Order: sequence, then structure tokens, then C-alpha cells
Amino acid sequence: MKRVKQLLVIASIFIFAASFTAQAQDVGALKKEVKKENQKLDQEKDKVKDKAKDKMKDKDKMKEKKDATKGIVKDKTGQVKADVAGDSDDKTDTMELLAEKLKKAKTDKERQEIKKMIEQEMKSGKKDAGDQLDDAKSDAQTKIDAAKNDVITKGDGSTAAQNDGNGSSNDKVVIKATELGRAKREDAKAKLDKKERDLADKTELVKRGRARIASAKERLAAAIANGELTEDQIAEKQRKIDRAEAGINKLEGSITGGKAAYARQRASLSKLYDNK
Amino acid sequence: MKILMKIIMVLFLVGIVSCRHTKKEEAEAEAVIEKIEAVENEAEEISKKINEEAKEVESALKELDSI
Repeated sequence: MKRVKQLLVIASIFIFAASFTAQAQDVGALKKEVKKENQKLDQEKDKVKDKAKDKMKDKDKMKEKKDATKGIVKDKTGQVKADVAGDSDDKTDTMELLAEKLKKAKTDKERQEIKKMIEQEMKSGKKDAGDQLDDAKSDAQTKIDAAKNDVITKGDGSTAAQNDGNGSSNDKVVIKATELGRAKREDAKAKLDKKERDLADKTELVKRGRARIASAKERLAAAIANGELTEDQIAEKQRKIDRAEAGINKLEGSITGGKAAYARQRASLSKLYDNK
Repeated sequence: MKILMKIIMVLFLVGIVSCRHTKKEEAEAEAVIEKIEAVENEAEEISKKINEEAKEVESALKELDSI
């Protein structure tokens, strides 16, 4: 009887100690993890805030540019307003040049081409501002979602632990780590989606660029045929066309490579938790 | 005294086994997260490179307007 009592005491001490050790380890590991994640979240928040501020500044700049271009287009006959003429902005300069060309244009075909280019400039100005705002919004939303996921996974450990009441404390840690990994994987996939959409925009830029190069080539050929240009001028203009063409080809290659890389990355992300 | 020693030994053993198990799982989880972060960084670099090239192209195209 005495022996049985001894065994019972040992067994209860053992069970108590084992559960205490495991619990302490679980809580310790989780606390450490939560602290680490909280620090990361704080850093991410600061980054998002800074980025949002930058984007707002960019948006203001783009708005100014849009206002400037609107003023010029209203006066299609080439009378660029004085306040716009003083603006040293790149886009404004381009529009001024186009307005001048429109004024000098002799044939209807030339006028039509220049009008098209003015419209493209206006569209691209408008699109850039919209894109930047969208980027800032979607970036901030992605970060917020990721932060929410992390908080749900890490901060509210009680929910997952309660649901997993029968598992050991180590299992809980593993489950939480896996949940965190999955959330990160989904976040990474969302970022890849956004980057793929950006690539589609860049493909559009390549198309528009090729059209502009073709039009520039035509204009140059016409000017050469009319004998309006000296040898130096022709060489300079040809150099500009070659530079633009080389840039477009390089960008096109990078876009193709980027698409392949994103597809490969998506596949490797999908594999990460498939076998678990 | 003997029993107390035995209990302490067993507890010590349980503690060690438990710690090793947790560390292994943690290391695995960390490795997966590192992989994800590496993928994100690579994607970011590609995107940055393409954006830079696009800016160069845009400036080259602007020069064409003076032709």
C-alpha cells in the first residue's frame, strides 16, 4: 500500500511538472514570437506611413502637371498661356513643343498626328497620377491585411489554443508557426499579383512606344525628303530614335523575363505548404 | 532522497526532450518564412529593375517628340 502511495505521488508530481514545463515553454515561445512580430509590424506601419506621405506628395505634383497640360490643350492653335510657359516641368515642355508643332503643321495628316500625341500626353499624365494613388492604396491595404493576419495569428493565441485543446503545447507552437507561414505566403502571392498587373501596364507602354517610334521615323523621313535638315540634325534625330528603340527592346526583354520569374516564384510559393 | 533524485532526473530529461522538439519545429517554420521572404525580395528587385527601365524608355520617347 505504501508503495502504491509513493507511486501515485511520483506520478502526480511528474504530470504536474511535465505540464508546467510544456506550458511555460509554449507561453515563452509565443511571447517571444509575438514580440518579434510586433516589432516587425511597427516597422512595417512606419514604412507604410512614409510611403503614403510620399505618394500624396507625388499625387499633388501630378495634379499640378495635369492642370498645366489642360491649360495648353485648350489653346490648340499654339497660343501657350504665359503662366504655363514659365513652368520648367518636363511634361509642360513636351506639350509646348507639340503646340508649336501644331502651329507649324502644314498638312492635315501632320495636324492629326500631333493632336494624337497631345491626347496621349494628357492620358499618360492622368494615368500616372491615378496609378500612383492606386499603388499607394493597394500597398497600404496589403500591409494592413498582412498586419491583421499577423495579429490574428499571433496576438489572439488563445483562440487557436482553445480550438486545439487536445493537442500538446508543442503542437500549438507548430500550428501557429504554420499559420503565420501561410499568411505570409498569401501576402507574397498578393504582392506577385500586383507586380504582374504592373507588368501588363509596362507591356502597354512598349506598344505605345513602338507606335511613337514609327511615327517619329515617318516624320524624319518626310523631313529628309523635303531637305529641311542638315546632316548633323539627321544624325542627331536618328540617334534619338535608335536610343528609344534600344530602350524599348531592353524593356520588352525584361518584361518577358519578369513574367517567367513571377510564374516560377508563384509555383515555389504554392509548393511550400502543399506537403504539410 | 533517492526518489527525489529520480524525479529530478526524469524532469530534466522531459525538459530537454521538449525543448529540442520545439526548437526543431521552430527552425523549420523559420526556414519556410525565410524562403517566402527571399521570394518577395527577388520579386521586388525584378520589379524595381523593370520600373527603372520603363522610366528610361519614357524619357527616350519624350525626346522623340522634338523630331
